[in-house]
Parts: sequence; C-alpha cells; structure tokens
Amino acid sequence: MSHFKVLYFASAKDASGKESEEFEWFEGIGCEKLTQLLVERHPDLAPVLKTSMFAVNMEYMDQGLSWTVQPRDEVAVIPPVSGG
Amino acid sequence: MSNSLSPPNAVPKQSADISSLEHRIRQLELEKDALEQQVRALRLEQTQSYRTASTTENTPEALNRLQQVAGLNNAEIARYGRQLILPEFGIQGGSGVGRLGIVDHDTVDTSNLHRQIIHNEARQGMSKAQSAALSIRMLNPHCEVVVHDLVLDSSNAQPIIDAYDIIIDGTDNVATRYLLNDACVLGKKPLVSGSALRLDGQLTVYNYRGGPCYRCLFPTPPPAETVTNCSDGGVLGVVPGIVGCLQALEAIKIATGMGSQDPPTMTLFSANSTTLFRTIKLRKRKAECIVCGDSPTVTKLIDYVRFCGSSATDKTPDLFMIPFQERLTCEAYKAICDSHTPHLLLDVREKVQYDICSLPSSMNIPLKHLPGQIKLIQESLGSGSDKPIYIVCRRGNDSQPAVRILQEHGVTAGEIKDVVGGLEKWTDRIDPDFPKY
Ligand SMILES: [Zn+2]
Repeated sequence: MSHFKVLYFASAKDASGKESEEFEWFEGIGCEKLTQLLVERHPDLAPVLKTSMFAVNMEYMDQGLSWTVQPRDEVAVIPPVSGG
Repeated sequence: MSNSLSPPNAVPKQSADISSLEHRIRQLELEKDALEQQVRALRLEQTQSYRTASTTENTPEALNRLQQVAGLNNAEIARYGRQLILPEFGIQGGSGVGRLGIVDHDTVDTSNLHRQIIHNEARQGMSKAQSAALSIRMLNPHCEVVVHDLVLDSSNAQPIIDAYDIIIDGTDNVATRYLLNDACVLGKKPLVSGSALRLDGQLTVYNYRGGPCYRCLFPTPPPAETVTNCSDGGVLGVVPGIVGCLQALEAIKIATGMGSQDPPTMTLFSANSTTLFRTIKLRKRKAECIVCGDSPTVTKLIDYVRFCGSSATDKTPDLFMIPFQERLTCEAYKAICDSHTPHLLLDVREKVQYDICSLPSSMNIPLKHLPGQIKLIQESLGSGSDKPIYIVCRRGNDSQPAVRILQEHGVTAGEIKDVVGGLEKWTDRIDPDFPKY
C-alpha cells in the first residue's frame, strides 16, 4: 500500500488540527481530487483551501495546470498569512 | 591590623565578605553605566525629535526632490567596517541603508511592545512612524529617515512606492498586502513580504527578476470572516522578529545583487515544528495574472478594502447581529449582579483567554463548542428553568451568535441576552482593575 504525506501550515493547521498526516495513494490524484480528499477528512478545510496554494515536494504547484501526486510525495497546504 | 586578631578559622568568612562586597561594587558600577547610558539616550532622543520633525517630508513632490545618497564618509566606513571586508560585499554594498521611509498611521500601544521592539514603554501614544524614526536615528545617525505618518491607500500609495528602490511589507492586514503588491507591480519595485501569526511566519520576495507577484500565488483574497489578526489570534513576540530579520536580509541581498541568480522561493517558518524553516521553490510570474500577467486588467490601484471585504487595519470591527435594545449594557449587567438576581453568566471566549481573567461565577464554553454543550448548560440551569442567561465575550462580537444559538435550542424560559462591548467595555465602564489583553 502506497501513501503520500500532507503538511498543513498556518490556518490549514488549525482547520485540520494536525501538522501533517498520511493519505492512501492511488492513481490520478490531481489538484481537484486532492482538494476533495482533504475536505472529506477535514470539512473545516473547505474555506481554507479556496485561498491556499499547494506545493509538492517543496515545489509550488499551479492549480490551473495538470499534475498528479506520486507515491511518497510530500504535499504542503499553504494558506496566506497576513498578520504582522 | 584587625586581620591579625582574627582567629584563623574566620579567614575564609572574611574573604567571602570581601568578594561579596566587591561583587556588589561591580554590580553598582554596571548599574551606574546603564543609568548613564539611559541619560545619554534620552538626551539624544530629545535633540533628535526636533530634527525628525523638521526633516519629515511626506509629499510626492518632496519625495521626487530627494537626492541620490552620496558615497561613504570615514564615520560610515568605521561603522560598516565588518561588513565592508566581507568578500561578498565590498565597498559597493557594505554600507547601510541611505534612506529609509517608514509608513505607519498607528500609535504605539502597550500590546505592541512584545514584538515591535523599535518602540518602547515611554513612547505609548506616540506616532509609530515617528517612534521608529527616533530609534533608527539613535542606532545610526547616517541613515536618512523619512516619516510617512499616514494610512496607505490607493490615493497616496503610488508616489510613495515610486520614491524608493525596495519595498518591505510588514503590514498587518489583507487589504494593504494587495495594495502594496499592485503598487509594486505598477511601479516595478521588488516587494519583500513578511507576515506572522501565532507561531508561523512567511517570507517571499515578490515581483523580482521574473518571479511571481502576491496575486500570482494568492489570486483570491480570503473571506474576511476567515482571516485571523494578531489581536484575536495572538502572535509569539519573536516570530515577527525572526521574519523581520529575514526581510532585512532579503532587502540587503537585493540592494547588493547578492544571490540574484537564485530562483524565487517562499520561506515558511514554524516555531513549533522540529523543522523550523522550509523553503518552497516558486515558478515564474503567471502569464494570466491580472496585474503582472501578459494582459493585465488591473492597470491602476483599485479599492482594496472593497476587493478584500475587510478593513485596512488589524482592528476587529464591531458586529451588529442583534439590535442594541435587545442587549445589555455593562451598567445594566452590573445592576443585575448588585441586586443578586439569579442568573447564569456564560463566557464564550477561548479557554486561554478565560484563564487570563474572568468575571466571578461565570461558566466558560467557547463559542465554537457551544452547539455541542447545550446539555451541559441545561443541566447547570436545572430542567424547566426560567433563569435568565447572560453572555459575555471579549468585545461583544462572539456573544451575539452565542445568544442566537441558545435561543434556537430554547435552553431557558427566561431571557437570553449578551453584554454590549464585552469585557473590554466592562474594564472601561465598571472595573478599571479588570485586565485588558
Ligand atoms: Zn502576478
């Protein structure tokens, strides 16, 4: 069984209640499917994901382009932080 | 000599006395030095405050008239010597900032001091821009400081941005972040952006050498109700300091051309994680970006408060969900307490806030847990109760949805009301000794 890891930052960490966790991997997890998987597990992530960016293995992933998560990838959910 | 009269076994005790007295003298000397330093600093501050006031230039015309910073004099060479001899720097880049503009409309408040260390206790109520200018002058008289004591908005931002080479964003709200981004894209200036909340920080240089702008990464502003500010969410004092130091580093790198071939990145700082720093590799700017893309639709500054649906400050706006006449003033609640009318006082703040301070015999259930705790409230009231419930929170915002939740569940036959202005008003109107945080 293959897995991939998700890292949550800032408000995504609050919404999921976790810093990171494992997901079961399968073929064809693109941006949309990933969003769906995350919201299924943590409904509170839904509004956060609307304004967050994704990075895979520490590299920014454009939500408009087609890409898929590979086994053992590390996906980061990065919402903007605006405080200072 | 008295020494010779002492029994031999007293010698160690005497030498201990001497060393403790000497230690005390050293301490007093240090204290004296510190006091003298304070006097010098205050004297300098006095003279500088006249100079700052007289050299403040705010208008765009004045900014355009500002002249190029000249080469280094001997005093500057002495000051920057340790940097000038770095092989990566040299005489070109080893010096400090020639001209530093500071934009801030706010005044110094005690609650800023744990993180905004450019201000101090004595400057409470002073303009933050003025206070920052004073501190910079006290550190370094060679740096020209320009004070912009104003609210940055679409009407005044562009000429200010245009007058500087590098823009550093340390603002505290979403609207101003988009405003600065667009002004930097339109003015072709690099934007060194840093932000912090709770235990997390972010750092990115936007709009620099073909890299993305803020809108490329975050095209949609987050809905106002999902944005947490430092005042509500809290922030650990050192976190903005760490991000601020990194911003200074990035500004120096841009000014000196150091690392100019590096691809654009976003640095994430997590104070509570075993990996403190993570660096995300970013792409080039987005061709379809509405401000920095190939066919931009944002070609001049827009109304950012409207665009973001949130105000251009980090102050939490008042909520008006329940009509005023259906709520309690602090004075009215005080009268209820004084008359010993039986009731339940429900405090809906987060537990960490409740632990700082609370009113006597109140019950704490944070707003977000309220729907799941209805049974608990009913149990503490007793069945079929007509005891009134009064609800309090920090500022009188969260208490309003709490009233609605309890009304929907019909927990009591008595009235359910909240206290206008919350515990902050309670301090202002009723009990000045009740802490504000
Ligand atoms: Zn852009």
